[in-house]
Amino acid sequence: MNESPSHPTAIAGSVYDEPGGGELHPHIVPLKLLAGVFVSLIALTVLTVAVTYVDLGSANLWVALIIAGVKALLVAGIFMHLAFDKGVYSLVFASSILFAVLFIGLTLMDTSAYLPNMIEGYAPGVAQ
Amino acid sequence: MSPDSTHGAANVTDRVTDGAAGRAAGRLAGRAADRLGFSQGGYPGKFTLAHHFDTPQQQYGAAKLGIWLFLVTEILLFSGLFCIYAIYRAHHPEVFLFAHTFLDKNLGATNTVVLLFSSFTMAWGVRAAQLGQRRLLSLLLLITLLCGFGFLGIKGIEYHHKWQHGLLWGENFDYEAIKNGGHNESGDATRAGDTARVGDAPETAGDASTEMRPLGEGYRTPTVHSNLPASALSPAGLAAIVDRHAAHGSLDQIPRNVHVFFGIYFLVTGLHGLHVIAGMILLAWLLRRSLRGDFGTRNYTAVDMGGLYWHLVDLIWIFLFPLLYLIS
Repeated sequence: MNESPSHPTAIAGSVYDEPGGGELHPHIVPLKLLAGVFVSLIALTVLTVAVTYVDLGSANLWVALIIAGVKALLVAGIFMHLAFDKGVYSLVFASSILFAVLFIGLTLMDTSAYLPNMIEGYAPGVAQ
Repeated sequence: MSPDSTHGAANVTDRVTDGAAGRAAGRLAGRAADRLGFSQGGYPGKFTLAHHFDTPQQQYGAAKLGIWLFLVTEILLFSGLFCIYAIYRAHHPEVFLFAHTFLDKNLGATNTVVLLFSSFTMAWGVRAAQLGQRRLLSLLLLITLLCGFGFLGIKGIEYHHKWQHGLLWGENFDYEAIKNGGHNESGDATRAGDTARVGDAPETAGDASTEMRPLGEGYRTPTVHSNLPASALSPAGLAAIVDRHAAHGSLDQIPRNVHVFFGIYFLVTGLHGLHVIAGMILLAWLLRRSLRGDFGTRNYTAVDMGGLYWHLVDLIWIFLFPLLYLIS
């Protein structure tokens, strides 16, 4: 444990010589990969907009969400470095998505079950 | 691999990549950086180990876990808003089908591209910090910050347009305005300077596929059909079949509670905009520190963590864009 009151802020600090100390050796993302992901994201955006001109009925929403999900995975995995990091960070991120899905999903189930019956004709979008 | 490389960016990009377009774009980016003299790397930066950490790795790991936990709270915050959206859209699709046409898809798509590009420059900036490419890092942080301004500018244009047309939240919503395809009966001054757009709400009967509407390009005509059972429709206006040719129309043809869509729109994009502003303040701080020479091969944590926040802002917009602008 380093108890000294001042710590090296310049290059030749002793912390680098201690066992367990030393430099961070980061994984450096190749520039071509970053650029490739960017190009893919733009392409997926164009696709998302293009799909709205095709009428798939209620599937339009799911297609849009799936494409957005792919974009999110690209950003989270490459830009946010999750693909190259320790698994704990991906676990933390995934747990937030899980709770968000639970939140929205259960609330939707709940309200769909009782809301149409509360006020006559209140929820015309939900099949009776 | 050692981060003490003083070689140009092009030397470290010989890896398996994402396809021809990616390779080309990467080469272009790398060569641009080289040619402008930005790729000189190896600058160490100013490193400090806080007293309660044993090693730099531990300090970095703590910072990373901390920022990811914060991002989780942000995701949960926005999940509340997405829940509002989901519930209301599930129960009142007619409101969303009608109201989203007042949003400009082109501006929304442009904003998406702006944020995606800013994410790219941010991720590249983190890489530059890791390689000790000091000038390149400052430039990339500046570009990311400018993209933030661009995003807010476009958002401002959209908000201004909605203000002009009375498309606001709650009781501020001007039903009279949308009844006539975007302008008041009295034709008053709320849309000063906008006459070219709103002016001749023509009954352009005939070409059903036209995308032009009195409100301007990028605004689509409301869809003509509804999936709702006939029993859900009534003269009281619980739901509506919207006549695509009716730039004008009686209030009965407009779904009730259209203002709720705009309430949701302003709440979600407003909160997102606040996060963009907070991110821009963060970027400005990082830019200042970068210009001071704080960041380099031995100290890039702050850039990395700030980058994660900015990517989250982009992530949220990636979902907002199709949900608000691309309903069909």
